[in-house]
Amino acid sequence: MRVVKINAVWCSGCLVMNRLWKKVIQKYPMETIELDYDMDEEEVSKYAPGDVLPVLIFFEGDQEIFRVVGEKKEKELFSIVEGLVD
Amino acid sequence: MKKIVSYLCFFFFLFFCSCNFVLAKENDTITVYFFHGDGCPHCASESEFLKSISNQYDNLEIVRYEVWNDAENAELLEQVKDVFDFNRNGVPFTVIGTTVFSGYSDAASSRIERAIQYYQEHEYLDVVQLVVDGGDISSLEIEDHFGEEEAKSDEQVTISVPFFDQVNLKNLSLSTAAVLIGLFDGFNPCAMWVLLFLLSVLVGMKDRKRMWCLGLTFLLTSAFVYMLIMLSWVQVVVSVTTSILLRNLVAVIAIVGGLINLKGFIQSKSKDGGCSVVDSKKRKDVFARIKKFAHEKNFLLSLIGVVALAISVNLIELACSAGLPLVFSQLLAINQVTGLSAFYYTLIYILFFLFDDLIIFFIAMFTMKVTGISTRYSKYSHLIGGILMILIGLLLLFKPEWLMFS
Repeated sequence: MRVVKINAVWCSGCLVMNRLWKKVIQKYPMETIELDYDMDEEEVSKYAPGDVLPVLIFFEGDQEIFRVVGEKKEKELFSIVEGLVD
Repeated sequence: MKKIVSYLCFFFFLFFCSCNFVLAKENDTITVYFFHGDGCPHCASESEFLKSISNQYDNLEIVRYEVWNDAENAELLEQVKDVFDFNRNGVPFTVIGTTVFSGYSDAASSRIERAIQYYQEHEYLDVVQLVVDGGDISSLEIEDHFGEEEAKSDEQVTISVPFFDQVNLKNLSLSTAAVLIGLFDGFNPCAMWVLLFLLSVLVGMKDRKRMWCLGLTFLLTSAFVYMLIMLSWVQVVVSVTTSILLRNLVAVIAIVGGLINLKGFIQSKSKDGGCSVVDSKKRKDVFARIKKFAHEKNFLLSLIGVVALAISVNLIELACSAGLPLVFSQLLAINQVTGLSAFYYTLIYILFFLFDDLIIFFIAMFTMKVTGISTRYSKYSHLIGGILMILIGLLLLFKPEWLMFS
């Protein structure tokens, strides 16, 4: 499974989720592609992230299977990832 | 029979004795004597206030004496002041029973209203009426019972605290308001995104000395701009003659702002929590400016750039967070807190307003990592800030005296 993670440096919720994501991938290692909303504008627009950040897009091959929008609690994020991994 | 006659005589004796005093309970009228001058701004404010409350009490009578153009009224004012042994000059001068009020302010309006309520339930001597009637007032003992009660209630809010001697709880209330409102205002994410932008660029530079200077300059300038706006508002409210109108206007703004905050909270519950994407053009412009001055070789130009950014961002973002600072400035104004005291309370407000910014700044300074505070806090700051604003707005409209802490 591959994850595209869209953040922004000005977004405090993204910074909080970065910390959580580090914990997640320690337990469930997976390829993570980090994109910055402002620096990687062209690439980001391909994923139509909407107007709330951060956005985590989970891919199985080239197929998007799930999208997490906004800041989540640690327990909620782990439960989502566990559901997808299983 | 003799017994009945003697009882009746005693009763009539008491009745006639009591007739020497003009009792409010018996004629059921409370009279407010208002000595004023045409063209005096504070008189105009008080006149407006008295007009507004005259309809609230069925038994309230307002008697007006213009003293600048009417020699007889001016003479009466002097006589009344002599009776009260009051030496200061000037109008407005108001008398209710044995209580006098010199000058006018929001705090005075509240005292006048409390005095009216006090005399609704207590006997009072109508001194001005006695002076007008030319009665013998030399033998009267004039005691301001209302003033004594007010002084007692002031004493009751003073407590002894080790190291601080006597602490007035009313002053503490204003400090508590500064801490609470400042803290909730601080969690408003309006200007936070610019600080994060700035820190991310500064951390990338790895130049700690420059980081400290530019970051602190940004925070201090933001605090200065905020403080300047708040103190200016206090000054405007204190000096404007139609302060009641202004107070009601701020009350309405507070209630509307509070409702908007509550709406924001309710909407955020159904939405995904996180950061809403700010206007793309504004974001790019701010980012370009930050990068430009951060990499500027001339340090002085860098500092000027940060100052200009902080001023512009705070002025633009003020519309987003104007509610709470406006409400707090109004609180200072109705408590007649001006000058150094206003500066002191505003400083407390600003310190707590910057609390979350300072935490993020210091963490970035010491760890070279930019940290974010969960957006959940800003969500709940909408809820609590909203309730606080509605509450203060309603009190400003209906019970402003409850907000007069000192």
